[in-house]
Amino acid sequence: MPGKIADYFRRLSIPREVEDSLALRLSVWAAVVLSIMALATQAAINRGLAFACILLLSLGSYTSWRRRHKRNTVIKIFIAVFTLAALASFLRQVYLQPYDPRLPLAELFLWVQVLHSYDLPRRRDLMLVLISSLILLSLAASFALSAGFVWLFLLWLTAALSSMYFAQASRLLGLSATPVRGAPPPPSWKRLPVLLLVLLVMITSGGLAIGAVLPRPAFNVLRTLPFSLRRAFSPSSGFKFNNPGYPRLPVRPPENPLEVNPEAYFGFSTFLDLRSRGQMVDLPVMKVRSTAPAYWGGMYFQTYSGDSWLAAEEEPALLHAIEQPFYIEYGPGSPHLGGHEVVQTYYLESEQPNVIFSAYRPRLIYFPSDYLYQDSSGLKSPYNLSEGTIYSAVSDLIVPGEMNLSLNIEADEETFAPYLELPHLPQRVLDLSAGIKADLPGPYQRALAIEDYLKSNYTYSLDVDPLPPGQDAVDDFLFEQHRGYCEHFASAFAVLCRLQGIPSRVVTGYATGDYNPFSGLYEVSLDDAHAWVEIYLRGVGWLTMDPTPGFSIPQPSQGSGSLWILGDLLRWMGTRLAALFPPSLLSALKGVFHAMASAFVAAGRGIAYAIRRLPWLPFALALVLSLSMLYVLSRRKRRCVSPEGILDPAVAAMGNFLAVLASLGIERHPSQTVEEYAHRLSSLVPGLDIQLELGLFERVRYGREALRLEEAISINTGLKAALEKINISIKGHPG
Amino acid sequence: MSRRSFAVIALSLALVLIGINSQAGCLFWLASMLLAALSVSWLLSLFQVRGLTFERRHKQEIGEDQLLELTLSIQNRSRIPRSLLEVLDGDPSRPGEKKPRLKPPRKTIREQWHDPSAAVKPPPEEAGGQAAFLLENMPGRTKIDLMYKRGSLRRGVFNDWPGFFYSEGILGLTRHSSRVSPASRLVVFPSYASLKSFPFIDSLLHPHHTPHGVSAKGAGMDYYGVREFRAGDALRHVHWRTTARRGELVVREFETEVGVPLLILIDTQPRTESQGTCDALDSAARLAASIARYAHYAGHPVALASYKGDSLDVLQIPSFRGALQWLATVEMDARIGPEEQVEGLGRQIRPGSFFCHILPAVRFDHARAAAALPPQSHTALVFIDLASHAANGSQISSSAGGSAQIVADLQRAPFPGLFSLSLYRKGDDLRECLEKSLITFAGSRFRER
Repeated sequence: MPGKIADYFRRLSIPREVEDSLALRLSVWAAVVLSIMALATQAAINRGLAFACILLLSLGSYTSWRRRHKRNTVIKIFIAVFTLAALASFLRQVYLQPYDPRLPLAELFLWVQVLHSYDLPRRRDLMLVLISSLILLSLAASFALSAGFVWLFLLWLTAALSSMYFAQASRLLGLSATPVRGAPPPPSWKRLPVLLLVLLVMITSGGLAIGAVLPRPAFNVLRTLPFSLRRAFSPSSGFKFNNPGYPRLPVRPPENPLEVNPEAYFGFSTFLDLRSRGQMVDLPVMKVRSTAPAYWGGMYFQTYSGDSWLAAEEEPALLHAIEQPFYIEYGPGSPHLGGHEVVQTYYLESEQPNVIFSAYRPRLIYFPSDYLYQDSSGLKSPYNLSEGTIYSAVSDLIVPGEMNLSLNIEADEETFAPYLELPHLPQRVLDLSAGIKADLPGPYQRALAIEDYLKSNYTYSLDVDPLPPGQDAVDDFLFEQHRGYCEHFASAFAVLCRLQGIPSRVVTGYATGDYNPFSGLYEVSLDDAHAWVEIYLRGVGWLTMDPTPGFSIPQPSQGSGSLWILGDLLRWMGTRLAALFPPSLLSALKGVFHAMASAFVAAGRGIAYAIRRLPWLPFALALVLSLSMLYVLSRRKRRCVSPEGILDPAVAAMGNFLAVLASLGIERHPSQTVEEYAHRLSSLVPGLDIQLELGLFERVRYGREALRLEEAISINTGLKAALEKINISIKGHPG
Repeated sequence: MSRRSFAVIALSLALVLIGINSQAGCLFWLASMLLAALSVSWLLSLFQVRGLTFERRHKQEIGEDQLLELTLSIQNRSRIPRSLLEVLDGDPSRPGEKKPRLKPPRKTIREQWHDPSAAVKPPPEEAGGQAAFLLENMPGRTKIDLMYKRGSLRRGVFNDWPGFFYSEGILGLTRHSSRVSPASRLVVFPSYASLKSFPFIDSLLHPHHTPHGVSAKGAGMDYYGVREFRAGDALRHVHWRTTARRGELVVREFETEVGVPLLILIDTQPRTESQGTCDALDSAARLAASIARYAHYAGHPVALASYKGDSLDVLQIPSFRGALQWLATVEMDARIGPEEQVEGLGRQIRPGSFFCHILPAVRFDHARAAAALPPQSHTALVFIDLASHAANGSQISSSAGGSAQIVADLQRAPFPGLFSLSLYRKGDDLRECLEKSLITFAGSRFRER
């Protein structure tokens, strides 16, 4: 009995259906190597490990090829042992770092790939390896922060397609017999690149089309969001604000205007100096993965001093979280009706001040530290945010369109007195405030009116004259310059709101940035640094508004937050294409498109007006259209169907006649009339005369006449006889 | 759609879900590319099987034990080349096949285990299945001839059996096939044994038992006389000596030899108790062909008979080839039992002639059948053992006793005119079965009226 069992296992270990295709093995090897490289380029594994894995994998693949017909019992045992070890390591890592299992998972799959490569006798094993490489690639894709990953993916796709082709060829060859004679030559290696190229083009274009309409519902079921490794911090040292672009920044505005560093935004400070003039360069700052577009706010300024905005002078509260995340709490006097949850992950690409950016208002923060600071000017990090830092936030957005903001409720002046305070302002500013529809009932309506006023009457410009000493910055913008940049618009708006009794504050941060539909990330650069305003509505909370022309608060239903990516894709492609054209041509094209759009809008308005005035018009048009279609359809139907609705026997007989002749190779060209065709037949078959039958057919088909019984019989017999004649002439017998 | 396509869809869905979870845009694109690969594969496999023509050339007639050489002409009418296209030629005996069967029947682990010879089984086209050929590369506007040999042909007349174009695309994710029915006609004759003797006929050909046939001028071997040459006479029949003497062409005339007529009746009533009745009919046709061949070349007029529904179909065979053609068409469609079939033969059996009844070994009313036979006729019964023709081998042992019992009963109480009894089991040697009848009754016991 033990001998039988041993024999059983001996037979079991003999590899069956061994795959001998070297091309298949090479292409699978290439796919796996590319997926490992993808992981390495996305920093999911370190490069040394990737290099070692590729070496081991290559050795394994070679061993597997050489020993494919052998039992490899020892190798199998080793693979099993090491796989268990890799699994144990994976479980340990997941236990130690439960927040993001992707890295341990990547390592596990990597080792399984490497180990498995030592015993791949069958095609099925190779296909499993290909699927594993896809999983590795997917893991790399989940880490990918740029569209450059696409190139690596295309290379992998080439290897994967080759593998699938060779696997299919090998499989089908195994299932097919070899013909005694006439086996066509196998595809040459020269043809394969062409085939692959065609496939790649088809799949890529198809993938782009499918990806453009693939639903991307913006919800997040994962509760542990990514953040980088924690950094140790001792809270005993206390909080100190720090902006790396302005190392010696004072706490309060200096006497002279702050000199602007074009590589750092001056608004991330304890004050916002409105006297500063300068322009930011286009440097990548961070990438944001978010379920909806938003403004990424950093600093919230409370006090207006006439030439600057100042953050509240208060000691920030220290927040401590033993386990992530931080639950951010707000005072009882700070209601918030935000119902639209936005999940964001920030990947920093350059060193930033110790400000935690997030869409207002953050509820949860996953941050690589056990401590955070919080005050009325926002959330602060205990240390500067260095390049490579990753953190996540969950915010609740107020969407004005989703709630009734026309409430005639004024803010509680006592609680929000700091946000209503103003220094002495010139009279003309007060007059202007009074003149902007101050009689509107609700604060939100008044704020909208002010926003509309500023957007309509002032120009956005980065070229602004310096602020004369002692002059109020808002007064200078409103009455002297008539142009300015976002800080000026935000300041004017906030001041005018306060004059109308609406609590307001200026916020600095970053605008949404460019959405990259390939990586799914908002790419934020330094020139996206922006200032906007939040107004307080009683019972609602702080509502974000942006008075700067050309800017608008993004709605969660816009951009990648929408179900389809098509709009984003077109926008992204448009931006990239626009960069290729000279500005003059671009503006001309814009003009044409605007003109066309205006024409369409005008036409739409005209139709809407007509419908309002003549409500019966659409129904009348629909009726006319339906009747016309019915008429056309009935005409078409009558052309080929007899009045009784049945195909006339004469038409059917002629149809059969033509079909039989077509099968004999005497086909009627579509451009030939039946009469022309009959002439051709007469020339082919001497003595053939079907004029009588033709006449009868034409009477039925085009004259829409009904044939008498004897005529119907005559056309049938006549055509049969003609067929016999033709058969005799062609085949030598009646057929 | 194949299992692999469902796997791709599942993988894409998983990627989309992970993409939604992690908002990783690349995962959405990865899923899109997978779905695109699936769509492209679907389109390519659909396209691969379109725009092709299929012609089949082969011999029109063949024996069932011979290999048929077939040539398939495949033409790609479009300019676009085809890759990894499978061409399948159906089994002529299964004209109703709707789908291509590319995969060989899967072997169980037990079969793989205990049957080391499984790997050397004949290929499907020789074992009676679809023949599959892979066209790895077929350039546009080309025609390719594939020649192969088909074995295990089943007796019958087969028309327009199907062929298939089958493609799983280049990536093997989806599959499409198109069925074609090229014009074909194939007559598969039953195989036969070249008998050296057949006791039923040989033993009874004793002079005093042999009713003499009428001599007539014909194509026999015995010399009858000479006559002047007529147009159409064979030159080898010219009698040169007389020609030389008379100075004009004179040919020899031969006597037509008329032997004892033999009528072979094949029982074509379907039997529901066994699955092997079709095989049994094939065996009956082989037995009939072997007997007819022997009798025909022995100079006996041979007639073949079977029932189609309620009507009797009798063929006086003009040639052995004619007999084979007739036997190829015999089908299991009689609606009456063996005794009624014999009764229905009526006057087809002449007194004193041979009657051979080939039928499944089932119990029937011998007395009633014997009563229907004319006097002085000789009967040979050839039984086909149904159990051994059934697919299940276990039935053979259990039912073989039944056939033996029927034979034993007849041996104990033979009906008048019964001369020999044979029992044919599947796998038996035809020649041995017929040359050495199971029971040969001594002498002929004519039915006395």
